[in-house]
Amino acid sequence: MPTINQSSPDLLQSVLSASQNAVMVYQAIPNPGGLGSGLKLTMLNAVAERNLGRPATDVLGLTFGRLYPHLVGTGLDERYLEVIRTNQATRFEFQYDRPGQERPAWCDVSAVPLGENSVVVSYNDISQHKADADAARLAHVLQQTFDASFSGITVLEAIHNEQGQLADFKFVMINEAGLRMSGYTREQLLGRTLWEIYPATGINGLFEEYVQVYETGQPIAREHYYPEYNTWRDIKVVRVPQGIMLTYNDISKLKKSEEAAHSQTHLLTDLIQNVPVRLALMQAVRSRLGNTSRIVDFKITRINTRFEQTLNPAARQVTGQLLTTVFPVALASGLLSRCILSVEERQPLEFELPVLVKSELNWFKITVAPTGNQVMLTMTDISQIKSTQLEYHQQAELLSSVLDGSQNAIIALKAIRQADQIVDFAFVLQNGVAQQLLGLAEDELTNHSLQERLSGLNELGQMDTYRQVVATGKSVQSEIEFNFGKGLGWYAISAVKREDGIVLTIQDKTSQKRAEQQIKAQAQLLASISDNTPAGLVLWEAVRDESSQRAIVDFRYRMSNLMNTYVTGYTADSLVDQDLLNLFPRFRGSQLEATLRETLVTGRVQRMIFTDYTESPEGWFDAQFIRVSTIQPADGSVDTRLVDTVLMTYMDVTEQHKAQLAQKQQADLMQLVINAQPAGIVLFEPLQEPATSDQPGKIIDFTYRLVNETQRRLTGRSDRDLIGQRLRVLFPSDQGRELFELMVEVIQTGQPKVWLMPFFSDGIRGWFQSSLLPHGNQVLFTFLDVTDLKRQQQALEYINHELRRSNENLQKFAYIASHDLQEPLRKIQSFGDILAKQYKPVLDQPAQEIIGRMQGAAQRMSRLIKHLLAYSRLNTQQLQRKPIRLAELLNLILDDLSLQIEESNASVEWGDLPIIHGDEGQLHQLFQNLLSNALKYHLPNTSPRVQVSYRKLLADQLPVAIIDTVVATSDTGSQSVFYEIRVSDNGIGFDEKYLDRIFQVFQRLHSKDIYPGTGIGLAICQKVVENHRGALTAISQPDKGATFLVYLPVYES
Amino acid sequence: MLDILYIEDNSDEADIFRRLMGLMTPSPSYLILPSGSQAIDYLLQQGSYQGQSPRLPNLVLIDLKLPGHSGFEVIQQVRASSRTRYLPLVVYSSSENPKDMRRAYDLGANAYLIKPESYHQVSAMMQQAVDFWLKQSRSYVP
Repeated sequence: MPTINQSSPDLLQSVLSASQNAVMVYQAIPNPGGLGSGLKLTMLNAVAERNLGRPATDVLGLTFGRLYPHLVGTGLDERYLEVIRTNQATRFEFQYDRPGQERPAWCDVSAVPLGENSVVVSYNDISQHKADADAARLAHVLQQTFDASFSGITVLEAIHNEQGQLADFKFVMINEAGLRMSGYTREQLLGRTLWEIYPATGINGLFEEYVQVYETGQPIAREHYYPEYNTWRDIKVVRVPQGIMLTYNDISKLKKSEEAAHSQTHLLTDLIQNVPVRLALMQAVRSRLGNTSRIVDFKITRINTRFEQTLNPAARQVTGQLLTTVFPVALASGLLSRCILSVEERQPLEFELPVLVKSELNWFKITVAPTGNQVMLTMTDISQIKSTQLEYHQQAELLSSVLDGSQNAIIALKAIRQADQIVDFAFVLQNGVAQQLLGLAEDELTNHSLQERLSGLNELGQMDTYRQVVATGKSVQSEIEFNFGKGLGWYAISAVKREDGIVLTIQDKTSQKRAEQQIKAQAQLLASISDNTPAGLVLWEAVRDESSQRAIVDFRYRMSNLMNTYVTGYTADSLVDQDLLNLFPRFRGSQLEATLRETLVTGRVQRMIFTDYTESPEGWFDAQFIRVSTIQPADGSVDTRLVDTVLMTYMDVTEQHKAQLAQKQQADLMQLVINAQPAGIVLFEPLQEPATSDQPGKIIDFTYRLVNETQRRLTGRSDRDLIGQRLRVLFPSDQGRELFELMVEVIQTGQPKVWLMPFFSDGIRGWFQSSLLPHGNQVLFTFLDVTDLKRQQQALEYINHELRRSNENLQKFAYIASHDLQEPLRKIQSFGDILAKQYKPVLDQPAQEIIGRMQGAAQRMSRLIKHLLAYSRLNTQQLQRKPIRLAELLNLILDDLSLQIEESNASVEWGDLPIIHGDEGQLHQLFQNLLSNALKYHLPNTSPRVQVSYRKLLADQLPVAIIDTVVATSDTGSQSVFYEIRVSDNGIGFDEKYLDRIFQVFQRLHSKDIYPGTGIGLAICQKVVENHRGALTAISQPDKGATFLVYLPVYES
Repeated sequence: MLDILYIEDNSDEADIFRRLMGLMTPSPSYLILPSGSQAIDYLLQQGSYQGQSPRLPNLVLIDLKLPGHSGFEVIQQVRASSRTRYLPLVVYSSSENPKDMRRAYDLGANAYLIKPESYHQVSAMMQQAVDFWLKQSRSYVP
């Protein structure tokens, strides 16, 4: 090494060599101009040598420019020269670009003058320090962000054990939010390990997850619950160099409210599971055929275990399945149809049904409660009750059949006791004869007592007797006269004790007893008749000839009483056994003979007044004739001679008659006046039973006291026929009785009565404006014949009725017709199926094809009929109005049409749509048909585009064509408001001259082969809008799409 | 022992029923009566059946549209009599009308079956129903 400084070259050299910095010594190159304009390397140490990458021998003596060509112009050499010139040391940081390096290099340079013309340069590469400082600044910004984050962030560094396995994580970073959430200070955490701070992570699985993220690099995001802190965190774990980063948020609040909802659901599930009944929720599954939608099955959406095991003990996959799948007898047992009924009618049902559980039949009480489209089905096992019930029923039936064999009525009764005393008897059982006797069905008696049903028995002392029977056990026989409900009769009753009650055996002895009584009564009657009556009495027996007709030829006196002797002057002895016509030839052909014959032939009671009974002409006699057929003498023998006899009883009314005559003359004048009246006038006088001591006698009839000409003309009877006659004799019909009762009422109340009386019996036919006026003890009856008026009115009513009926018939016609058409069609299908299946081997291919076509045709017809049925139902269905969101309705419909929409790649759009009021089912049909048509009638190779929109209109803004078909004013008199709902498509459209036709039933504009359909769809639409008091029309041109306009009145709440 | 009393006036329907019963094993015994009035007389042992004590069936199948007394009247009368109070009554009708269904159930029918269209469906439904109701009825024979 050349010598520069003689004083201590060895020392310098050793210092240089020991220095960690690169050290170089430059000497100024002198030139004539004074200070050197260049530098030459005179010395360097090993570090500098390494930095230069060249051996010292190569570089010593080289100029600065040669050594560092890339630093020429940076002013570095100038700064060294400055040190030499000023003889002052300097230190600076120097930045320069290194060739081939991306980033600039930094050097810490110190230059110290040496001697007169040299400089010692010592430098240290500080590039790394500089980069670190930049990084620190960036890190500071990051740290701020990191600390400002709302999410907690923790960076953990992996710690490996001696075996190189990941053993733990060390906290290296945590932000403010993280600290807040952790509750620790940074100092408490940093440098510590996860296991130290959170030993639980080893147990709760988090540690494994952290390891997994670290090892696979796959981030994990999850929610985690820390039970020790009752906290929920949303955690994201990502891999970072040397470890993992956790980002986490506290979601406890959110989670806890979710949890509350969850626990409620849980509670419900618990409830469903633990109620002691079988319980299931089911969703109706509907099938749409054309315009009609009906429920075909149910899907089980929720079910408790108890029920699930009943249905399917082996597999537990009942939820989501169809009712008919898990419960195959749902259809046959009627369960399905009851569920359907319940949903359709929106009414709960309760019934009993046998169900096979583990191959044993159990009876269940089932309730079906509908909510919307769902039903809740509950089943309670009642097998025990049912089995007891049926067994009891069978026993009772057996007993009944034994009892019913008896000819006597048998009734079993059970004592009803109060304070140990028998107060009554309850019906336990009776046989058929007893039921007939009492005229009461079994269920009418059950739960009733003897007192309630047959209180009369008590009065007869029977109750006491029965009590005795129960008390003593001794049977008792008695005979009573009693009305069991079918009239008074005689019965032999035997009462036998049975347990705490009795069995009554009742034998009907009525006919036997009645016969006995009759004999007694008749004997008495006969005796009293003969002498004690003030009336004349004559008994004749018919004398008949020997001919086969046994014609009556005369009447033989059999009896004549004292009164008759007094009146006629003939004693009984002189008359009895004599023949009437023979003895008194004047009676031959007389009214008397005629009446006697009439009485004998008809058996009817006759009445006549005759003036020729006695030989003197003055007598008037009111006589009554009765045929007496089976009077038996008191000794009980049958007097056969008396079976063909007539008894005449008569009163001498001569005096009364004379008085009447006088009165009549006076009355004649009044008659004249009355006769002039257009109304019929009759004065009636009541005919009363004899008065008892304190009450007037009951009115049994009315006699004509006065009639006018009109009445005579009307009844076709003369005064003679009428006056003194009895109303109920002339008018024996029910209507006559009604009139009689009204008259009684008028007499009793004293209130007049005016009414329109139809009278169509007893030879009178007509309507009468009638009035009844009380007149003292009499009644004035006036009536005006209004038959013609009434006839006209009736004719009018009849025509109206006919009109209504024919209208209803017309409506029913389609329903009935289509229903009845379905019957034979089903047969065609059924027999076709039999042919196709059972006779397939003997039918050749063409024959099978024909059957196939036949079946196809039958199916089409079936669909046609169903649509017709749906159409006719629209006429009879009652509207069930409710508010309906049209947009929701359309969404439902699109679900149904989804297949059609997909196939044709159609779009259906709508904007804002109103809430309409109406029947959901019908409106569903309406819009489904319109949308379905819009999709169906599309142009070939064009995807259907359907738009639905609406606006509000006043009635007078409606299209002219339909304005007359709607009610233009509301109930309040203001103009009605309508929604106009437009359904527009881009389809084939139609010529508007066919507008009327498209809404008619079975009218089609296109061939069935191109556009299938039944031709009822739009007719149904039309009907639906009519039912809703709206209107329907359309605008279109061929090939240019169609717009259907639905008008529905806006509901005024 | 009589298994089924089928009340049906339509001879085609009866013919299909006979075929179906013939296909079942074991074949149930059955009686077909063509009118509601006859059925009522039969079940309640009255009219021309009075005093004959005819065999009570285990199951009664009833069409609703019948000459004379309708199916509804049959149900009503059969339910009113104590002898036949618990007899299984199954309506087998072509009517889908909910009103008919409701009325039949209200009067005490045990099940209401709607006649299906195809022979196959008829066959399946009928066999199932007969199976089910005969099983339940027989299990309570004393």
